[in-house]
Amino acid sequence: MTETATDQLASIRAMLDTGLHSVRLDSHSLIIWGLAGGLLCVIADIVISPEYLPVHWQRALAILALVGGLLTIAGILDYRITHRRRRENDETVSFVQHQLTKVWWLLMSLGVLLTIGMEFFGGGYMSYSMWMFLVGLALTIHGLFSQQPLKWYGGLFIALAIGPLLVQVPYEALRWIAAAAFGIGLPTAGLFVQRSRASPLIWPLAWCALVIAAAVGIYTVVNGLHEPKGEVISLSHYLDSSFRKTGTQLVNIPSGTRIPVNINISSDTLDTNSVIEIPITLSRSLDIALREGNPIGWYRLENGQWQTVKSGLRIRVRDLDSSMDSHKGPVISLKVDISAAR
Amino acid sequence: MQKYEPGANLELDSLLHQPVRTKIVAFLIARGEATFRELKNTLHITDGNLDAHMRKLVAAEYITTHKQSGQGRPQTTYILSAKGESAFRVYLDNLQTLFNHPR
Repeated sequence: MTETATDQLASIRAMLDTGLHSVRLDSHSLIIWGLAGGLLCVIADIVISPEYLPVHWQRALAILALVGGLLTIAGILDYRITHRRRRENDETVSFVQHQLTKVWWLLMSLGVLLTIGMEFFGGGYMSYSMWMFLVGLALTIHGLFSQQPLKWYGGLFIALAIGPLLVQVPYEALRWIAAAAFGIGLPTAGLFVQRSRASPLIWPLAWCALVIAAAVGIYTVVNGLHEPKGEVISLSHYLDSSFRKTGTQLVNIPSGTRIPVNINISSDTLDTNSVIEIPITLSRSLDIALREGNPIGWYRLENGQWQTVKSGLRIRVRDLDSSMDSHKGPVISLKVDISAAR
Repeated sequence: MQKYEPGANLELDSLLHQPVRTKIVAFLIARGEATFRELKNTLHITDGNLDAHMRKLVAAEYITTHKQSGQGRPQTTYILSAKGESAFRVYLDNLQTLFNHPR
C-alpha cells in the first residue's frame, strides 16, 4: 500500500508540475511585441522631441499617445491572435498564462508611466535600459512557469539593459541596442528558444551575439550617415561680416574662448525678472556643426569623434547647498557637472 | 490533514484512486482548464481510454464541461468543479496520511 501511495503521490506531483509549467510564449507574441518595441525605439526620439513639442506636458501626452497607444494595440493583437490560434489547435490558455499576461501588461504600463515621469524628473538617459529591463523581467517570470528556456533570454535582456549603463555607452548607442533587442532579438527569440532545449548555453549566447552585432552595425551605419563632413573653418573666419553663413558649416572654437551661458530660472520663491549670464571658458577646442547659422547638435572635442549633443553631453546637478555667511547672509551653492567627452 | 488513528481504515475515493483519473484531476487543478486534446497529449493515452475516464469524472460531477462557440470552430474545455477539487484534497490528505503511517 505504501508503494502504491508513493507512486500515486509521485504521479500527482508530476502532473501538478506539468500543469503549472504550461506557459508558452508563441512566436507571434514575440514578433508583435518585438516589432512594436523596435519601431518605438526608432521613431519615438524623433517624434517626441523638444524641437516639435517644446513643453514637458506636451511630450508627456505624446508619450501616452504614441508609446501607450502602440503598446495597447500590440497587446490587443497579441491577445486575440493567441486565443484564436489556441482554439484552432484545440488548446486552451492556462490559468497561469492568463495571470502572466496581466503581469506583462502591468510591466508595460509601468514602463509608460516611468517614461512620462522621466520627462518631468529627469533620468531620460536610462529610458531604453529601463524598457529592456522590464521586458527581461517579464520573460524571466514567464520562464519560471514554462517548459521553454525563457529564463536565459530574460536574463540576457536584463544584462543588455544594465551592461551598457555601467560602461556609460552613448545614449544613441543605447537606443540602437534597444531597437536591435526588440526589433530583431524578440522576433528571432522564438527560433532560438526551440533550439535551446538541446543546448541551453550556446543558443542564448548566439542570440545575444546576434543582437549586439546588429546594434553595433546599425549604430555605426546611422552615425556614419549623419556625421558632419567638410572643411573646418576658424571662429574668426566664420564671424567675419563678409562670410556667407548659409548651408552647413563646421566651425572650430579654440580653447580659451569665453562662452556666455544664459540661465533662465523660473521659481515661486525667487524674483526671476532677469536672465543670469555666467561666462565660462573652454578648456579644450571644440568643432561644432551649423546649418543656416544654427547649431544642429553635432560636435567633437580636439579632432576626436563627432558625436551628438544627445549622445555626448551630460549636465548633472551634483550638489545644492545652502549656508549662512556671517557677512553676506544666506548663500546658495550649486555644483554642476558638464561633461562632453565620450 | 486528517488525524490518523492506528488501526483505522482510511477510505480512498475509488474514483480518484485510479492512476489515469488521478493524473487528469491533478493536471486540471494546476492548469485551470484543458481540452480533450491537451489531456491526451499530456497523459499519452488513446482517445477511447481517455474518453472512458472523462465520462466517469463528469458523471460524478468532479469535472464540468464548457462549450465555447463564437469565431472559429466550437471548443469543449474541461474544468475541475468545486466538488471535484474538494474530493481531490480529501483524497490527497488520506494518501499522505497512509504514506506517513504505513501499515
